[in-house]
This record gives sequence, C-alpha cells and structure tokens, in this order.
Amino acid sequence: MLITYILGFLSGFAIASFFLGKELYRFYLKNKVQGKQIERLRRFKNKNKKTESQSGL
Amino acid sequence: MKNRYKFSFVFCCILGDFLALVTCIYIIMYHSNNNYSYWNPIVLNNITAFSVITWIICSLYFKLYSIKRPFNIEAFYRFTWRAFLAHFILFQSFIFIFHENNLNHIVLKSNLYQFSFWMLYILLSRIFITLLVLKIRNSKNKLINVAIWGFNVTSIELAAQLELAVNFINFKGILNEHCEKVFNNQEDFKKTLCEAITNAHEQNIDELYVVTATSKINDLNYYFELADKLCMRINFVPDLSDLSTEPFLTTNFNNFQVIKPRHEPLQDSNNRLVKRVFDILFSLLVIIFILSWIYPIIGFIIKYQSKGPVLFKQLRTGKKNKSFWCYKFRSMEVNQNSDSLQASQGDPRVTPIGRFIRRTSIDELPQFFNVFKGDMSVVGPRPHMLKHTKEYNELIANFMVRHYVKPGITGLAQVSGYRGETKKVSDMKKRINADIQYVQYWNLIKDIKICMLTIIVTLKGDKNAF
Repeated sequence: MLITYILGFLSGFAIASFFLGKELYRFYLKNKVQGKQIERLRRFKNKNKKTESQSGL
Repeated sequence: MKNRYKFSFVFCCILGDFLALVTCIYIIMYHSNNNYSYWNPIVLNNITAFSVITWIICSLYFKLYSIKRPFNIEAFYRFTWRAFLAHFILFQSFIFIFHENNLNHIVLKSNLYQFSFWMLYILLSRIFITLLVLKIRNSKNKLINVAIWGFNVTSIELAAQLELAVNFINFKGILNEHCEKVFNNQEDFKKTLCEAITNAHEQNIDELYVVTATSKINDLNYYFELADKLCMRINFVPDLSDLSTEPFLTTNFNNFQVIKPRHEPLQDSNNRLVKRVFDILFSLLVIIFILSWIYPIIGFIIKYQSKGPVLFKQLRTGKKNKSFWCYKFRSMEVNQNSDSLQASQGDPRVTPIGRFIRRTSIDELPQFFNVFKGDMSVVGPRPHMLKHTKEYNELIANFMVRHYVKPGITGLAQVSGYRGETKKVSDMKKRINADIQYVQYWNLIKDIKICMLTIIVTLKGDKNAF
C-alpha cells in the first residue's frame, strides 16, 4: 500500500516539476530575447530620429 | 538550417522515448504474468502495438520530432506535453473499452506503475535534454554560423526568432546594427551590400539573411552569384513593414508571395477534420448521456409553467454569414420581440424555470443537436441574431472575421468574461477581439481547455448569465 502512495506522490511531483520547469524556462527565454529585441528597437528608433533631423524633416 | 547535431539529437530523443514506452509495456506485462486471469487477453495481446502506434500518431500529429523547423526547446516541451496527454487519453480509453473490470486492483496497480515510470522518464529525460542543449548552445564548434544584414523592424523581428532557435546554430546577430550609414541611391546600396557579403564570408558566416526593402534592389541575381562564388548561402527577406501598421502574415503559394491579414489554422483541412471528429464525439456523448434524461424533465417543466413549445428556435448567423436554425430550451414566454430584443437582467419575459436554465446554461444544451448536424461546433464564437450581426457589422470593422469559423456553444470570449448582454459597442469589441484571437490561434488542446473552463465558469456562476 505504501508503494502506491509513494508512486502517486512521485507521479504528481514529476508532473508539477515538468510544468513548473517548462513555464520558468519559457519566462527566462522570453525575457532574455525580448530584452534584446527592445534594445534593438530603441536603437532603430534613435537612428531614424537622427536621420530625420539631419535631413531637416 | 539543418546539421548533424540536430539529426543525432532528434534521433536520440525518438530512441529514448520508444525505449521508455516499451519499458512501460514491460511493466504492465510483468505485473500481468502473475495475475494473467485478471487481464483481458484482447488488451494484453495488443497493448504493445496499440501503445507504440498511438505514440507514433500523437508525435506525428503534434510534430514532436520535426527537424524541418528551427529547434526551440520551449516548443519541444509544449509538444511533449501534448503528445503525452493525447497518448495517455487514447491508451486509457483502450484499456477502458476492452477490459471488463477496470477497477480491479491488479489493473490499477500495474497502470499506476507504468504511469509513474513514464512521468518520471518524461521529467528526467527533458531535464537531461535541456542540459545537453545548453551545452551544445554554449559550444563554439557549431557547424552553422548565421547572421542578418539590414537594420529595420523586420530584421529585428527575425533576429528575435533566430535568438529563440540558437540551440543548433551560431547566430552572430545583425551585422550592421551599429552602422549609421544612410543610402542615398541604389548604387551606394549595392556597393555597401557587396562589401557586407564579402565581409560576412571572411567572418565564416555560412548563411546570411539580407533584410531590406525591395525598392533598394535592382538586380537580385547579382548578389546570389556573388554569394555562390564565395560558397555562402544567402537569403533575401523583403522588409514589408512599411505596407501596414497592423501585423500581417506572409506565406507562399507555388512561388508566389501571398500576404494575408492573419493566420487561420482552421483553413487547413486536416485541422477542420480533427475539429469535426471532436465535435461529433462530444455531441454524441452529451446527447446520449445527458440530453436523453434531462430533455424530458426540462421539457415537462417548461410545458407546465408556460404555453408554447419546449424548444425555442431562432435564425442565427453561422459560418460564412449563412443563417441556420439555432435550438435552445425555451426560457421565456412566447413573445413577438424574441428576434430583436436581447435578454436583460430582470427581464419580465423570462419564466421561473427559464431563470434557472439560463443561469446554469442548461438552455444551451439542445445546441448539441446543431453541433451534430454540423451547423455549429462545440467551441467557437457565439452565434448572434441576424439583426445584431447586421448592426454590429456596420459599427465594428473586423466583426465578420468571427464568421470564418463555425459558431460554438461556448467560446474563448465566454470563458474570458465577455458573455451576456452587450450594452455598449466597446463590450462587443472586447468579445470580437477574443473571437478573432480564437480564430487565429485555434488548436484542439485550446478547445479542450475552453470546454473545461466553461464547466468551471458555469459551476462558479457567471454574473452575466441571467
């Protein structure tokens, strides 16, 4: 009977860990990539502003 | 972007998963050897073949081992979970259907043993895969160096996509990200791009993505020839960000570039078939196990409390703006305004039983006949009265997008809290946005999630249901 409880606990632990890990990894990756993306977009906007001011628009 | 690291990696995943699956079957067999009499021979003789075949079908359907697209570990986790869930449902259904005594403790015990092993394998193997992928990612010996040339909104978006897929490629970034140069004419641009291609070759770039507006290029073949001479792959990505401020989708049809306003998974006939099979099975189960006994009870009370038919049928807008008869349990007294006036809180037309069936959404149950007939789907945007479709179509620009799919009994808008009476156009806009989101991101798992959320929302009680 004890083995059944242990196996049930292990299965629950494995499912919970899998989902937690999956979501944490997704958050870590998105945060990292989006950070870079925002930095590039900011630089692109600055570049456009500079070009517009140089051409006198 | 294929390389041998990726092929070996995917092959090892396939092998590992199949070995684990066979071990699961072995666990069941091991427990059944001593207690053979408890197991149905049909189940025991076909369990290996069934388990392996269903795993192949699930992994193929969810593209778990696809090597065509860039490898993304987050997507790999997602597809692992989907394939696992689908396989679990099919496997347990197989045991449930062909085994006479499912609650027998030998069956339950061996099932629990194999399930625990399978779950632990999934967790440990995916941790191992993550560590392996991180090691490959940090290794300097990757076979393919990829870079982008061109600094614009499209190249920034492409860079983000490549950053997500950097496990088996070495993404060097946007080469001219810090360049301040402005191109005054096509000759100037041509000279700079030729220099960039030569420099990329010197930096050992294997694949270069040139992202630029089409107006800047007068002879694309010239650059292809130059890259071919240097033995470097070059891909042109047209920068179409000036075309629209709203996001759009570009695909191709027989070498023709096609620009669409949005992605629609239900345009794919395979997806439509999957949804239809789900609808038929779901509606049949509801008709046989719920409607068969609830219909006479509700019907009797409706007839007892007010004069008129048990079912209320109304013309509503369906797929592709075609109208259909939508069935409901009659919750109001028979009246002349039913086709034009929405139900409101404290509506005097609602009967006592009507109040109850509206609050618990039981009045919608006859719509499973519509689902079975094919007019509706279990999940989809709610069908509106013809008058409302006409009115809102004039007020909201993208209102008709929700009619590209079959209307549903429940939908993303309903479980997100946008159900019931719409007093303001802004309320309807929120509902439409949720419906469009559903049209754009449909998948079977999402449908199942919405069905479960509907049950939770109904049990909790929605203040908009009256």
